[in-house]
Amino acid sequence: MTIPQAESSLGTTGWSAGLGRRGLSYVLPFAVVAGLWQIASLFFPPFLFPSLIDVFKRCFEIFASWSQFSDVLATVGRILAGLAGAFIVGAAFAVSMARSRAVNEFLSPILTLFQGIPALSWVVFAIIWFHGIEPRIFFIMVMTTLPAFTFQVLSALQAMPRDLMEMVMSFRPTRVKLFRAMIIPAILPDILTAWKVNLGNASRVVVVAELVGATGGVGYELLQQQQVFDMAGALAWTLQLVFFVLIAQAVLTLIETVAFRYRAVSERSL
Amino acid sequence: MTAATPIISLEQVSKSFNKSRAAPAYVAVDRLDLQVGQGQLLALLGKTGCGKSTIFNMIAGLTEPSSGTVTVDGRNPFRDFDSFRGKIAIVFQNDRLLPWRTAVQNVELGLEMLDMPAKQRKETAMHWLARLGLRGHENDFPHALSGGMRQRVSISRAFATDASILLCDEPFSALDEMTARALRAEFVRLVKENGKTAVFVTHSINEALEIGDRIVVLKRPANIAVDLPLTATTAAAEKEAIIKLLKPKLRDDLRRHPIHRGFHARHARRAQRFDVLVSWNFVMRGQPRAEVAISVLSRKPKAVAAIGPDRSVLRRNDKLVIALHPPDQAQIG
Repeated sequence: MTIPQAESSLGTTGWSAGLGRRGLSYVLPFAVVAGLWQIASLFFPPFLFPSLIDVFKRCFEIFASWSQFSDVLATVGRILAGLAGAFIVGAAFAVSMARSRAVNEFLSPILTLFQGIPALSWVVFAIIWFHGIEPRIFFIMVMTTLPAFTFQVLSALQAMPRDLMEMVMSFRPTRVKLFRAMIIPAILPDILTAWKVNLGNASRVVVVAELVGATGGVGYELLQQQQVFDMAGALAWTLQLVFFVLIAQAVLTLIETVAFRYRAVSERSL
Repeated sequence: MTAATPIISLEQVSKSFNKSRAAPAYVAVDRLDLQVGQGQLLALLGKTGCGKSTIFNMIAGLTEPSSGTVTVDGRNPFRDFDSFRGKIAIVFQNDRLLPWRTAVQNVELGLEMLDMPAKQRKETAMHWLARLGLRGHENDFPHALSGGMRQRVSISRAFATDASILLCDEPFSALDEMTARALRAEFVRLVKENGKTAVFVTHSINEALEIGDRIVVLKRPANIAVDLPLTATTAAAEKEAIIKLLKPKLRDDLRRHPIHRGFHARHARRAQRFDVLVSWNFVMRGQPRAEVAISVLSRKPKAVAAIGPDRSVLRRNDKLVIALHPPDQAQIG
């Protein structure tokens, strides 16, 4: 007998009321902070607390002007390229480490060492080692997110259910089919979590990298705003990056919702 | 006892595991000789931890023996791993369904490995699910199915590949008795109808009796303690095997004196100290005729017997109906 799915007793009205409550609880903290900021803007000069209206005007200007918006896209491109590069290298490392104890024993200390190096040090190394801006930033992004990706994918590979692995192996799959049928679906939740975590890290690191070693991008523009004491501009450029992170997180959440629809939902979950 | 054409053969097979460098190796299987004939349904019976699953994994090619030879259809299942694709199917103790696949996609798994075209794959999977009573649940994810249904999906998955050899590792042990009984009956029917060779690992005597053409009882570390064919057609061989286990004195008792129930009870109690695990109650036309308790887990397999008033049952080749006695001793370990 099929275990019945939990049926919602809420009607359409109840459902929209619930959604409204959830929306309100999500928006309320932001509204409070914005309100406090706006009040502060009445008592402090604009280079300390600019009016939020000015900030949103600047945001709109950035969106409307291609020359400025291209800087936002350049930063987004750098984040995605860096994360993709780190993920590909990290996944390859993780698979090698999971397959070979010797490789694991060799790479683990190196990656642990890399984790201890501050992002700013990587920026300095990149400026010394590379001439071009893009290779510099790509290198910084990869080096700062590589250990986390590697360890997260490795942990996911090692935590794969052994009994399911044995079951799939009993059908004697080819390597490609083993990856497609078992390994990728099994580690996908951890991969998405790794992307979510590293996305936040990468958006912070890219600004530092652009601030010091680039002639374009959100980090570079922030430097410009700092030099003219334009707080509204600094906030507007920061918000561009925040918007991107929020959109990227929403996309990842959507992927999770679709990819993990097989998961049972308990009526008494956490 | 071996069948005419062994398809699975284990010769002097041992398997030991090193838990740590300091500790001595744990011997799970000790110089085991076992042959399984084509079309045979072998029940491998023994206490928990006696090495049944290790034997199972070696036959499946998932583990390599420490010494000795394992051959399936004349080849080494571990070294020639890929050559057995589609030839060996396994039903595990728990269903082991991939949670991210629906029931039909789980059944399709083995067929994907055989490169079957998608349409044919789906038709085959749907056919087997329907055959095992899961029509209407094809697109359910495992979490939405009950334990019995999940195990049915797992059996469908094994049968869908049409493998000639089926290995089953206590597949019904986690189910309630009613469901397990129904699935056992269905399993035996499918094995026989499709002419499969099957090795069925279990720790339940009842289950072994219900399923096996032949029961091999293992002692620890895994080696054969008792090997009994259990089909009605081999009743004579079965009787012979049981009589061979009797002490000469008991054989004489069997031949000369009817033995009453009290005798059996005394021996059963005594035998319990020797770890009795099989207690047989032969029944003809609904009436108890003879009972034999066999102690097989003591160092040397031996039997104590209590024979009913009509000892002729052991001399005739009539169809035997075998039941356990007493029922509460049916479970090992």
